[in-house]
Amino acid sequence: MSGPIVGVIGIFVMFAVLFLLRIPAAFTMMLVGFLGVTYVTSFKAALGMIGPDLWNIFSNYGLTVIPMFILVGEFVHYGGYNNSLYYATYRWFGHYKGGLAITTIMACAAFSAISGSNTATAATMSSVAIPEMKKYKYHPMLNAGSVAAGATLGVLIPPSIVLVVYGLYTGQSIGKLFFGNVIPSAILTVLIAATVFYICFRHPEWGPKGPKSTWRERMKALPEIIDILILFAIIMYALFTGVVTATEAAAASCALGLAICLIRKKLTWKGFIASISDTLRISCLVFMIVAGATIFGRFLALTRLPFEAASWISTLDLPNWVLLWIVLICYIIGGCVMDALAFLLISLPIFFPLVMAMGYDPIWFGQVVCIVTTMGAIMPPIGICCYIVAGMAKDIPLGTVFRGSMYYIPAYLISMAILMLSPYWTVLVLSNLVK
Amino acid sequence: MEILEKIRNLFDKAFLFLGGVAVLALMTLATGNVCLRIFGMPYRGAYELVSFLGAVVTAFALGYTQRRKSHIVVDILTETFSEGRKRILDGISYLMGVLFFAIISWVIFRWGMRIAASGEVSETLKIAYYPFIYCVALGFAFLCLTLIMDFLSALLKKGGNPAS
Repeated sequence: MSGPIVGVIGIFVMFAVLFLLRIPAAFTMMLVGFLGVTYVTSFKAALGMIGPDLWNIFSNYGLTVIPMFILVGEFVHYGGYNNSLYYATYRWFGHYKGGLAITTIMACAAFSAISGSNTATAATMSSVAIPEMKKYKYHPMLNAGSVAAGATLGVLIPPSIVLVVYGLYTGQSIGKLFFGNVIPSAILTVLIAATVFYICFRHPEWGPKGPKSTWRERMKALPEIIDILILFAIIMYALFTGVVTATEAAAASCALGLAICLIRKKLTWKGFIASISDTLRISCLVFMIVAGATIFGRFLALTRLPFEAASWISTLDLPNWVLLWIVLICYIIGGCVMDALAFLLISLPIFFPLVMAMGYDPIWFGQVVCIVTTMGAIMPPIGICCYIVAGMAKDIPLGTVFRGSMYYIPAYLISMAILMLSPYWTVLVLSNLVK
Repeated sequence: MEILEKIRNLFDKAFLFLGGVAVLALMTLATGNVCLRIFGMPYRGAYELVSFLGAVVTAFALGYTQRRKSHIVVDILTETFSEGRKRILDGISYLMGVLFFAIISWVIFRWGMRIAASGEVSETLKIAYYPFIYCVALGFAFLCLTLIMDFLSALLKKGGNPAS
């Protein structure tokens, strides 16, 4: 049997195990990758590979940025900054039609500037935003949909775990990826907010106006947003200048985040312990997916499938943009049936060489992939953000959350189209500034 | 079973504590190095120590993450299955996990022993780093113990369903 065919069989076996045996995605990739390497080489060679490989992944300096970015988000989360951010944004946007939904999206964006996880953002913002919107009789679809869509910004806006993993996996600069992400994040945030305006235009009764705040109230609400802005600015400045590594920038923002929470007496001992244990748990889950994908990727590389696929695709008589959309459709379908980060890592060994062979910029492709991955979090049937929102809202059924989220899908597709129309002005103009 | 549970809980707490210490040490060391660099005297070994601490953080969280059922499971097809069938699948999944990670733990431990025997040291600090490799092997061994507990729970119908 030729190498690439073994690779294709390996992918089918991996999906079969993943979907039918309830084995976690990370374990499946690791197991099938290990068995695949055994088949292609020998059991002894596979054993000799897996030990050092796992050690190299676990002790990879670049990956230590992950626990640090998760920890700073956890400190801010348990420090109760979600409330402060929500009420501060509410003072500015609450009096518009659908203003509370806009508030939710803007507060999600602000929280995402310090948290790299959409699940943390969904859980955090659901607890504040949903009761508030219920109080003002917002339609459940607008209520839950806006929280779910807003929460997806958690993995998009830097520091984004998806971008970190993408950068480490493909060898791209995290600083460049984060800076290249600023404009796409802004575009998507604006488009999601614009969707709320559109929904309220079509259904004015879905998002009634809230009371108007005075300028004094608005100004008074700003100081706590400044804490978050400082943390965000430190991360971005440090990465921009290149004087520190991404891990050091994340660690410094972590230490500062902890100090701010302690000075402002926002973090309790219980919250501190919960921050640490959540960080360990989430970091471990991400590390294991990276480890699984690396071992599975090594098996695919041995079969030469990614290279053969890339060269085959390049012989097809189709425009590059059509091929790119085929890749993106694969991501959208993949995001519908399994966790987007896991799918990203499973697919990167195949799609990344392919997209590079088409001549696309890796930093730009990272942003497009990040948006499509982000969208997966609200796509039925397994959109994780919708599950979290439905879990937190209790009386809003999951179906309503999914239906509410569907309104925002065009925002993601338009964002991707804008990125494709002008890669330079949307991504490269800022990423090229990073040293 | 109860004794096993007590042992698991004891190790769980100890590993969680050590993992927590490691993550805070990682934060302190990396931040400290930024401050030292500002004063023109960076600590050259920081890069290595941060890497080793990263390994400890992940390895010591392996069992806890499994106990909390935080690993991503794709249950889109199996969620419609009956509870009994789900338990059987979970049992198979746990058993495969036990066998696989026992092999991994053993392989890493043996590799660590080889590093220790060869006297290999880290590049910058010139310290023996095999204890950190043992930590990773220990983390996988504890993951095995947690999976054994999950397997027994699925077998004896005591919980065992993924519920993060």
